[in-house]
Amino acid sequence: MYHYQAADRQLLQDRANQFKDQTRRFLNGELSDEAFRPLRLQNGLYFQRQEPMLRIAVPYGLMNTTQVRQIAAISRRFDKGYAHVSTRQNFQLNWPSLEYVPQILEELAKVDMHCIQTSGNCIRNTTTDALAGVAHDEIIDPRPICELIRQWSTLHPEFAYLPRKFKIAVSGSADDRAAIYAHDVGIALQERAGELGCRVLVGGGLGRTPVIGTELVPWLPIKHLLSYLEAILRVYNALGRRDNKYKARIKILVRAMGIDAFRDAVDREWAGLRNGELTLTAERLEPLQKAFSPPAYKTDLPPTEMHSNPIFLRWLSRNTHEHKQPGYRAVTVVLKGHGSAPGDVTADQLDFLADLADDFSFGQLRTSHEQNIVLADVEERALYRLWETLQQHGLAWALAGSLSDLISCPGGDFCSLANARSLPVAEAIHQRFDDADYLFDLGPIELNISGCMNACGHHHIGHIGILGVDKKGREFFQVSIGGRQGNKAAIGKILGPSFSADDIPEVVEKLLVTFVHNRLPEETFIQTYDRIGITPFKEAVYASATH
Amino acid sequence: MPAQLTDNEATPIAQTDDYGLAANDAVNLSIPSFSEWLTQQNGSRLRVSTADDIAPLEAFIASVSYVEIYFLDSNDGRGFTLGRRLRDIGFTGELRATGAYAEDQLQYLYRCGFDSFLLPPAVNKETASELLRAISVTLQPSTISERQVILSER
Ligand code: SF4
Repeated sequence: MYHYQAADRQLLQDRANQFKDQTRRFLNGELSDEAFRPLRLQNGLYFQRQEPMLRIAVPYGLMNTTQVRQIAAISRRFDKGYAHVSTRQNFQLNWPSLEYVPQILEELAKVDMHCIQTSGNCIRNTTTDALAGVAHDEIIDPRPICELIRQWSTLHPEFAYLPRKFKIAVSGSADDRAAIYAHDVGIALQERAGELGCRVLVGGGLGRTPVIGTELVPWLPIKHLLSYLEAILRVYNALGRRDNKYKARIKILVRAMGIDAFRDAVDREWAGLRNGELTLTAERLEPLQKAFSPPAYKTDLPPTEMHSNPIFLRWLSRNTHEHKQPGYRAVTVVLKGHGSAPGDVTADQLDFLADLADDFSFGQLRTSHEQNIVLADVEERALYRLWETLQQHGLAWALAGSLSDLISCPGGDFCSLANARSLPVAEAIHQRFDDADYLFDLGPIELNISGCMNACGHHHIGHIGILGVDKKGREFFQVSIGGRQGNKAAIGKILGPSFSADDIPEVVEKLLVTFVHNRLPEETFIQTYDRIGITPFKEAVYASATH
Repeated sequence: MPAQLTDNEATPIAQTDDYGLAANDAVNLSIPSFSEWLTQQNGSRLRVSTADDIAPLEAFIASVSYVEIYFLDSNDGRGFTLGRRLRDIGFTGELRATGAYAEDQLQYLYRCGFDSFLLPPAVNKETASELLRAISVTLQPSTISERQVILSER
């Protein structure tokens, strides 16, 4: 993992001091609410319904155990003893008081962490595949490039006041697990004749106007990546709309200009930047690549005979993933379950997970955009022991990628923009579908819930998507099906008129029954949907709803 | 005291420019606006707003010695890109930030090529000098003018 240099640490120290001073000026009235707003947002601090919310950056989702323990300690000392993993692989504290935020920043800086650019109209945390560096189908490890982008985008003087937020994702695998099609810029790393480069997508995004990203350039040598990104951002900063925040994302600009005109504008800008100071040299790239070189894997592991406990085997097949290195697997610890919001994790659980990472996975762990934790480098022969320990702590219950692993935004219980409360719906679904055998038999089903059009719960790309809508002041939920992430990313189709919160478990049940009824052997929900289309699902849901 | 508008109803029209800006302590109407400058195309000093497309300036940049960029509001980040573009096309004169930018943007503006600042109201030179140095580390190239920084209080 990348180790902070003196310069990185100095920057965090300066930034913490700067924010302390800004908070002081706000509290003593020198800065108005309005003047303080962009400053606190650039530092991850929201004022929302109940208390401020503070978003802590986890660059591309990678953390060491010292950092995890520090988050646990901070959440105990300054908050209610738990934290929340967001769909952008960051951590959120839901209840810190403003007065404590400068102190929290100091505590974070001690372990090389911060809240820089986790919110506001700037370049946000770059995200990637939670299996980066270990996935069996990986072509290029995306983490050195993510780190490069982190450095370039951190406190970039030109791009701190963009028309709107700007999100970049990087993938290095055949299978896209980083949702690069749903980002302002998506980067797919490739190799051509031994040279490192990438394909660049632009203008993807969820939110009110979901759009799948378009190819801007099929091949860009890696040495030009930063100057090219700078050109894209410059065109966006100069021409993106600022009169209407719902039309301010780059996808709207790309659509208004047309992809060819947009590309021409980027190329014109790039002509002055390419081969300039941002050109990536081997001296700059190699240390980054070295920072992410594989840990000391054991190469002489004997083949493992797996324990025959059926519950373990079920967990093994869903919550562990094939690894580059023979004898190892990556493990997903699902942070979903009864009585807590998806992605919530208590301080005690964080300490426990840190201990596990030290014991089983080279002292590192990852956050995933599915709001889970990944232990990336576990020896196969240790899996049963790991599973037993997880079970004792109630963390082996939910199956990754199943209905019980659903994704939800914080919704109306925490977020001031919400139309509806998404968490009670998540909880009701958990309660209705808690039979592990049934969930396992259903196979992979991704269910995503957002409390409003801003789509933080990525409902557009859920196999089943649920969106909170407001109808004359009452909460309703619109259901869509057929969305998906990955190489074949698609936006779900709306089923029909929306439902009340109480109806949702029943609606989901009917969708599942329709699937089970129609499925061919071994078919997944999304495969059945592709074969039979939306109509049977629609009929099942609405026929009985109107009796 | 800078020029002030009077209550005389006839004057405001005569004293606003083509951005609708009235003469006040942040706007000096004696300096031509970008569109006024374009019609003359020979002045060495001009005012640009964050909404202007400065491409036509490139051919004349060598004869320009002073550009003032007027920020319409502090969230309008176009001014940062404008500053860098001006420096990129070879502008070496005084680049002044005026209007509604915020004091916490001073250092970013400086790094984007601005070397002259009409400070926001209630910000004095000492505070501004500190804010200009708030972050001592940079992780990307900057466009920094070689000239001495000019700070003016309102
Ligand atoms: S989707 Fe809407 S309700 Fe949910 S977190 Fe985002 S803004 Fe808030």
